Amino acid sequence: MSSDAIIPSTTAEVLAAGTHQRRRYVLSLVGLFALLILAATVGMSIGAVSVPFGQVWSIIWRHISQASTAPTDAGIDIIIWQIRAPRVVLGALIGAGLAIIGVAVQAMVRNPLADPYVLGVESGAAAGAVAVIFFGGALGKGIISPAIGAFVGAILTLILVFTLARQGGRVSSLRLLLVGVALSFALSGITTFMQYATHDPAAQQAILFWLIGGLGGAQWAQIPLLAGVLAIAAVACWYYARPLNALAVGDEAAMSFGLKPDQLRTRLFVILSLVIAVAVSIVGPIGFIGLVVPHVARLLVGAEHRRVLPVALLLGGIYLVAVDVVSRWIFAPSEIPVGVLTAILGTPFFIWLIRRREAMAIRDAR
Amino acid sequence: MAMMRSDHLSIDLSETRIISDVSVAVEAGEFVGLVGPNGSGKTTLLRGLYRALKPVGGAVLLGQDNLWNLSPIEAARRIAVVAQENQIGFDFTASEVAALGRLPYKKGFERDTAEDRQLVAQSLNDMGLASLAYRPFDAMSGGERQRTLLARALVQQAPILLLDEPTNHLDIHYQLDVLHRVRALKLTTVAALHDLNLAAAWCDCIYVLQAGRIIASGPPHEALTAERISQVFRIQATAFTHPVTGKHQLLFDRAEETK
Repeated sequence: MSSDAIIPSTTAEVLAAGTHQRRRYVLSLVGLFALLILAATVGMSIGAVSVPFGQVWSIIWRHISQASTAPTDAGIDIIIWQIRAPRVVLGALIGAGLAIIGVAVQAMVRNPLADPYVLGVESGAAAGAVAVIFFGGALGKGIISPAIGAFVGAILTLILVFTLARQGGRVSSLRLLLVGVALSFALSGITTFMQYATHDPAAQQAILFWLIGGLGGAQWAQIPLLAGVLAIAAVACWYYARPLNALAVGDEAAMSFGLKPDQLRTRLFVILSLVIAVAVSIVGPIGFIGLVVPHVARLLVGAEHRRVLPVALLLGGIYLVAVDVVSRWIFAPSEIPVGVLTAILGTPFFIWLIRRREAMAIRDAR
Repeated sequence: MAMMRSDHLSIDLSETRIISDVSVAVEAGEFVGLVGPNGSGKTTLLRGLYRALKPVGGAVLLGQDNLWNLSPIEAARRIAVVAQENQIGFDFTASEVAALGRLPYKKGFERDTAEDRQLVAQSLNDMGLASLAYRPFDAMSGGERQRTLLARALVQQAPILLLDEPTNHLDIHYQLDVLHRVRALKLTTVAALHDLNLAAAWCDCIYVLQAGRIIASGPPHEALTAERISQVFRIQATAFTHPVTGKHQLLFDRAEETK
């Protein structure tokens, strides 16, 4: 923060203060990475059976190094490696992905209230998944899974949003948002309609997952595809980090730096929405993270996207893994979907952070 | 050869002609002012000069190059813009705003070099902003913001500078401070200005716009005559020479028929 730094008065001092700031930033990255490892360790250690940290990592190491030695306890080995490890990795990936996509989308539309679901992709996914559950009997059970339905729903929504937002060969971001928000409400209405029309309690339970989102049933098989598409999102955001700064400042300025704002936004929306489509068809529409973690990252390191993106990535991963620990522990042995808790646990912290920062800004201004 | 000129430029907004048949020429190092009543097309013309608006007729030429034949990046390396940016949001600091000027020189994954940082720090210092380098832009005063945007233009290292109402919302000290700093840069400058006396005092050449057309041009005392200003702005103007600076200046009163 500004209060502990010396106020620079020459070019050299401005540069020195910049170096100081970068050093602090690197330290905060190291700290956050350590926190992520800690959250993951706790996540794998806690559960119906508690496993000491040391044993958790020796089991992980045995699998990663593909040692031929037999596990000391086959039951615990399965719990850690087959159940908890993929769940923690899934949580970290989803949290990280939602956070960086939230950062990018907020800059792209210059709106701090935007989140990764702003184009209605998650409503499309929910509608698709619920339709599969609802018409399951008619379609013949098990032919297509709700996850496939979710993905198809998300992609169809995306195509529809872009088609409807296109006018005279141009896609304006305002139209994109308006169409996205409107379609999102319509799709939510359709989903709720199907939910009411269903009388089968098992179907209602299944529908609930597609309305809230959760990490239950995580498997290693889900990880490679998700990690792949999230890597694409991360690389795209990083590649466009500087242009994102310009878009956040405004289209007029962005144009004067040689960017084409509408084209850039459309390109990023397509890439990021496809990634979101994959994510929501695996874990459902987990909320709050993509909206709030970007703000927490900016409160920590300022607005420059080359700093915000890595910090948001780590924060998002830490937060979802940590909240998932709580969601498994609070009503153990049964668990509640993590999507229920992300906002309940995060909102008080977020409000405290905003108030504290405003108090500091007022103090600095005096 | 003029550094920048528009050749019979016409611009439409929502199929309405806003700029018609406008030809202006700006020599290297010259400070050119665009003046005219509200809605006369000053801002639209300025936006047409940097690829923010595509003309429906005529051309913008930078030396021998047509602006629209250049790549956007190449155009950005030649023309820096200070538009009306009062709030930019997201808590960017002055130094981050200034660093945006490096965008036309950077590829996707390219990192900042020591030279980039030196240029940003130097430009901020040149604008008297060293002590505010890490202050949020939105928390700055109007004059400080305008100087930050000028620092950004310096970082962009473009020979041509376009300014849209650079003195808007500034007190008289900062109005003069900003114009003085702009002149001291010795760049080829085109500024849309509301204040006729500031334009008369600081510009080498002035174009008077009315309803999207140029109706007069030349040095201040020729372009801003009392008769012309009285007619264009529907007022009663009186011209005089400033007793200290020797500049052409104007005094205003409401026109007789509207009293």
